[in-house]
Amino acid sequence: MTEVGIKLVFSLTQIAVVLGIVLLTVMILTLAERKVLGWMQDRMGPMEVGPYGVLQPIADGLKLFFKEDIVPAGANKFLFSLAPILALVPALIGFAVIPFGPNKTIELFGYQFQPFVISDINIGILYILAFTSIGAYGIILGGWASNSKYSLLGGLRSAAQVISYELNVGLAIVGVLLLAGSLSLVKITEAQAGGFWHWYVFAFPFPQIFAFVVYVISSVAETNRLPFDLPEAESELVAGFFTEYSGMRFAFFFLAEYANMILVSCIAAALFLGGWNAPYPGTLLPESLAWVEGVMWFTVKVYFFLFLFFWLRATLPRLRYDQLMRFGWKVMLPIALGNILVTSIAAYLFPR
Amino acid sequence: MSGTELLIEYLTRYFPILLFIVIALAFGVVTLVISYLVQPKYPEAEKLSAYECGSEPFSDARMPFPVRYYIFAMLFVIFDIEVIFLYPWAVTFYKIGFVGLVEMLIFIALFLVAYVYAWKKGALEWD
Amino acid sequence: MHPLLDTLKTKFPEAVLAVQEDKQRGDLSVRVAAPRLLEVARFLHDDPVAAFDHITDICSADYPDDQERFEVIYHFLSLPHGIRIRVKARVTEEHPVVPSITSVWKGADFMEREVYDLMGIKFSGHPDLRRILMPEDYDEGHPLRKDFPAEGRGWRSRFDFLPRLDEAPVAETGRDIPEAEKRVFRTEPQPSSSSRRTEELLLNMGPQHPATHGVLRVVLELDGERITKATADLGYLHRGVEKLAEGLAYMQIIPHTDRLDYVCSMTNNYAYVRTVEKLLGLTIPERAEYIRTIVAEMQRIIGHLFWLGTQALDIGAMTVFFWTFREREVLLDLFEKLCGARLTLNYFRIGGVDSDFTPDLVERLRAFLKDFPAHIEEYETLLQTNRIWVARTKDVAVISAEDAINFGLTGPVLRASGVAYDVRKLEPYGAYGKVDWEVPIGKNGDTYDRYWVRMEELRQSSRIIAQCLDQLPEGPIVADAPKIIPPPKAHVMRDMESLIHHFIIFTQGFKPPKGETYCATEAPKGELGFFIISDGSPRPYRMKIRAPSFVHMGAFDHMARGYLISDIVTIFGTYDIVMGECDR
Repeated sequence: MTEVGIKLVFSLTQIAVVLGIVLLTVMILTLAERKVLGWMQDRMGPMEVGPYGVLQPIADGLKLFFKEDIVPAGANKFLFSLAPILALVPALIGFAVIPFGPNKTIELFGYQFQPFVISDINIGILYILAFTSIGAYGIILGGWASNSKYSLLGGLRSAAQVISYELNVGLAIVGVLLLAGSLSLVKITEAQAGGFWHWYVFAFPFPQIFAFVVYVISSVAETNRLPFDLPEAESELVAGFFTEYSGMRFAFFFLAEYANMILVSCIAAALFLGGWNAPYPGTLLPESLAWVEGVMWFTVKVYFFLFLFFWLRATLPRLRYDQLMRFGWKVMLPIALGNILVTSIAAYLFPR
Repeated sequence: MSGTELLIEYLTRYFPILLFIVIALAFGVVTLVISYLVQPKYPEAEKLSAYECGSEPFSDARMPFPVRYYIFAMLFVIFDIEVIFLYPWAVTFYKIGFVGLVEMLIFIALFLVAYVYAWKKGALEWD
Repeated sequence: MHPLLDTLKTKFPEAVLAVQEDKQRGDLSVRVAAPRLLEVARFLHDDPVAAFDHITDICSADYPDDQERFEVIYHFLSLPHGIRIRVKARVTEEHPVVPSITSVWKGADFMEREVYDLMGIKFSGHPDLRRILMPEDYDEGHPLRKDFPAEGRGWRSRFDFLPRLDEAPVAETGRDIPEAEKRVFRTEPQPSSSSRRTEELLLNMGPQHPATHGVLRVVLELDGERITKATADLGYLHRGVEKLAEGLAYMQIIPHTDRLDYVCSMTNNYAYVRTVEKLLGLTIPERAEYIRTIVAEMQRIIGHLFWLGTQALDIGAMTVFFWTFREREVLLDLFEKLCGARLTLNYFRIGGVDSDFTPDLVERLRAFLKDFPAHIEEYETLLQTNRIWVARTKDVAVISAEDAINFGLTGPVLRASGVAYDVRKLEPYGAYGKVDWEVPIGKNGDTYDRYWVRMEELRQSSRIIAQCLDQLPEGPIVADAPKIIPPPKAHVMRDMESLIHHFIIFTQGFKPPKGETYCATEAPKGELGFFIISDGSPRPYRMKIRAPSFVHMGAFDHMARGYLISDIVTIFGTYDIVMGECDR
């Protein structure tokens, strides 16, 4: 087999595995969210499909798959079909640069491979930011193409919200980039090795705790989750930009939302909480099995953020649109900017 | 590294990403197409009408919408470009030293001027 | 004679045709000449001797045999003096016009529209006299007139506004709405500003919308995201309960009242039977009074929990919704134990209640009351000091005390504006006069205050129940009035006299004396009043329901103007409207 062939097969395998894990996690999340919310609200959550309702996501998926997909009479058919794909694809391909485990190389047929990241490009974080921006097009096109006032208003609101908070995400991570000196998620994570006090959320010379808070809040807003779920605020705009969607296209928006949740959780874990690094120096397991520990810690951190999403949803009411925009532009943005200033000065005074 | 090697290096790094994009797109399109083939289709005038809470729409939904959205989009574009300029500076921060710091402080000060101007003009107010 | 009636007689010798004081029922009524009505009304509102600042209701009656066929009946309440007055005016069929009193009481707007809609009486000077409960293009006449058949005019397909079932549906999706139909929802055209027009937008909310609490439709006129006008379109749930009641014996109407405010049917029952008892002059045994008070307060807790859950859900706090329903469930179980039903209870009887409290039930209710204050605090931890909740509710939908009174608002909505009007205190009934409780009052009249008032009322209600349970006397639960109240089934089987009473009551119904009376009851939503005109027959000649939700909707436009579109769900929620009661 040629070099290209082997690398292609390896990449394909990796992509298939990552895609599989992401889609599986989405399925788990839909169930976990309903269960967690249920327990917080003194009820059981889904119980009917399978033991304790564990097969509910499969039932939901099958139902949506075999459901009639309605295209409203006045809709722009092409854009109406394009929008869900445009929303879903950016959310999925972001995972290409996420390091799920330690930066090791293995040798296969005489070639070097990195098993835990599909591609370690040196502009990793920029790539993710660039592509997730495209997700906003999916939302606004979906809202416009539906030919319904509720969809249009929901789409516009959503787009305005996503871009406003994306700005804060972009500013919040500058401090981390500055300390790490790289845009590659693998390098950023590696720089945080050696115990939790090296994680950027706590790190010397200036803990990125403010940036962390801004990032987490902004990413909740960017994924349109409570308390920032205005675009799909069911009590005022019915279902926002996907009011007119049904069947598989609806499922795509849903998938995109959850995939985005996982993606921002992965980024938060990698940038601020040390990614695959354990909170203590080194590893407990022997060298050959250290990757198990790394992957486990990464998973734990990601699920911690995902749980946070559910927790917020169970606890908080929804902000009003003007309050949301004011909060983003007048509170989050100055904090993120101030963080950059302080971090850069601190980093200059106490160089590595 | 020579030019050819760099090119090959880039190709091996970015090819998996291109592959991922193609696969993700294919996943989306193929799922929609299969779903389209297996689903029932019973179009009806009432079913296909746009949702307007059960009454007939007053007007075309593609209506003019508040100019606010446009202002925020403009602000985003302006500020986001400025943020992009911060990235290369942040990455090379330790290499460019004092001059870099001062230059960027000036840049951020300019950023702040624009920000304060927008705030004072009421462009950040939603209503 | 009441001094006020004397004053009116001397002040308006020509306008006031007759005065009457019903000492037994405590009702004052005045007959005025229709053309002079506005004068008298203005005097009643403005003069400090009268000070009838609160409009309770406007209703109408039809006497086809009389020369002046229609009667318009106004009920006013003087909050400073705590008295009610009934003003009546007669008009002929040929010229059914009464001057509108919307310039004096703003709340008269919707009430006059209802009279116009259902009886066809016109109000000169009314700003927007359109049908309100019936469809706008309804041309079958005015349903409450006596010559309108109660059973409808026949076949479904004869109503051309209903879809024909035997014809293929016509594709109407692309149809343009004619300008005339749009116009009714638009504010007066403002020719000057052309730039305004470009941002103006009509947004339709309801009848099928998750936040409108039933089939309510509101057409919002927006300037950007601000509401410039909110036109409520009611009547999607109009079932003609008032018309139906004219064909039913007094006893048969009780289940129909269940379906008014279907969230709180106990208090509907209570309001109705109290009115009939007032008409009959019937006294209720003490135990029944206590039981009535207890179940009414349980119902108030249920109603407020329901309101809290839905309002919180509208604002996005979904956990509160499930927590309140958890407690509501306990109370519904108790109702089920008490009378077998959970929602439409039909528990009250004229002269008493249907079934007695068992010791087990009292025990379970006490256990509930023991935990309940902790649960209220649980809700408050999620909301009271939550900054998002405060930001969403403070200074939203503010209504001043004067406006609230002028619109005729009642219940928590009025009290949050700082007006201490509660029927339970003003005209104590049941056991309310015998227990110790307070009326919570708000200050600012905003959504947060309304939230706070209702939360306090939850506490007060549980206080009232606890005291009533302690004082609960022994004794019968129905009054002893064999001509009105059916005898127990056991007696019917053995006793000849009981059998005869039973037969008469169930075949003919009882016959109350000729007369008319209005009786107000404090329902969870506000003042729920029934006005019954009896002609001495076993069926009410006319029954009018003063539904708080309907009156509150009259102030909707006033309260919604100037707020953002996102606030509209908060405003819907803060009223605590139930369309079953609003549309009747």
